[in-house]
Amino acid sequence: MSHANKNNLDDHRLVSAVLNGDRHAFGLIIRQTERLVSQMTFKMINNPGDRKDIAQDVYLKVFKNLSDFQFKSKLSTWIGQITYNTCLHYIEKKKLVLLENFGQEDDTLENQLKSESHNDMEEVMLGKELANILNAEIDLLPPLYKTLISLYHQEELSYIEIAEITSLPEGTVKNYIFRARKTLKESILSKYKRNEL
Amino acid sequence: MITAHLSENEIQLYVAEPQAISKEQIAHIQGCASCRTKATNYELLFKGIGDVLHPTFDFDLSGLVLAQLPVAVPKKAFPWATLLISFLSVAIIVASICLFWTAIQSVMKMMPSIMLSIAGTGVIVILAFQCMEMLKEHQKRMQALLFQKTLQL
Repeated sequence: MSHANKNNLDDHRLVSAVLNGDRHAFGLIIRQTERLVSQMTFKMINNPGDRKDIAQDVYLKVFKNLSDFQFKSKLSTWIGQITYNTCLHYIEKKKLVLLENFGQEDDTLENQLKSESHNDMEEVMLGKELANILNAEIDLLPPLYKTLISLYHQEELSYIEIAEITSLPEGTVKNYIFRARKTLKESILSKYKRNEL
Repeated sequence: MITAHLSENEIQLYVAEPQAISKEQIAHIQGCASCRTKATNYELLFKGIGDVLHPTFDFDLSGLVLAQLPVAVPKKAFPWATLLISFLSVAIIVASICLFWTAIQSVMKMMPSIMLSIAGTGVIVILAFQCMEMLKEHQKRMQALLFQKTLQL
């Protein structure tokens, strides 16, 4: 049996158990998808107190609307959609910016970095703790870029799954991920190599 | 072999999805020190992002949510509106037939049997097509509604 089919069967089993009144099954759904929800919430919401409320809100919405879930996607993808929309609603309510004019072509930086010498990134990584550098630099990206990068590289979702979660066209998702990685690489090289190393 | 350097996007593709770029582009990267350095930098970056610690909540999310769940199990609402509309439609059709029965009978008597069968077949074909269209439209709308509802959540 393929992995996708097995997932779908598990989803069916879990959803029908919850709809038949089994609360432990819902606890299992939470534990299975908590990683994705926390990843997205941490990337989209800066305030730790609000993250707690949003995460709870997401699962209460999932429970309330579970009978409408039609198994057209994986249950985790559907929960990802609800998380994304809940975070988006929060961002709009707080008048925050999801994606400012960020990571557009910057000629000055581009020119500075044209002479990327052999193993620049390796030098940076030898001089600093890579995880700390990356954490700090990813945090500086706009919420949408942070989320897309994490969903692709850390959660290992496909472009199609990310497009389903964010309701963005697949091409736009790819384009944003490319830009986010380029911005990340350039900012790491310009800050840590040229200024501090 | 391609002599122009590859774009940042192409180099990223080389690292993340090598199957998505051409053999000529791969050959260029392998033979070009500048592009190879960029590719190595991206390789390290991708590996680094993958290794970054995963954020976790510092509270018991499952416990908090389960404590707040409503007592009632979520159930699909019974489609009263659809049922009422269907019932009214059938009632109108039946009432019309009853009301105009004598007129319908006299028209049918006056018509030759061949005309009657052609008209009957025509009506059945048109009705079948309309039913199929309605079903397709209904499915499309339901999908759009579900999508919209998920977006609003």
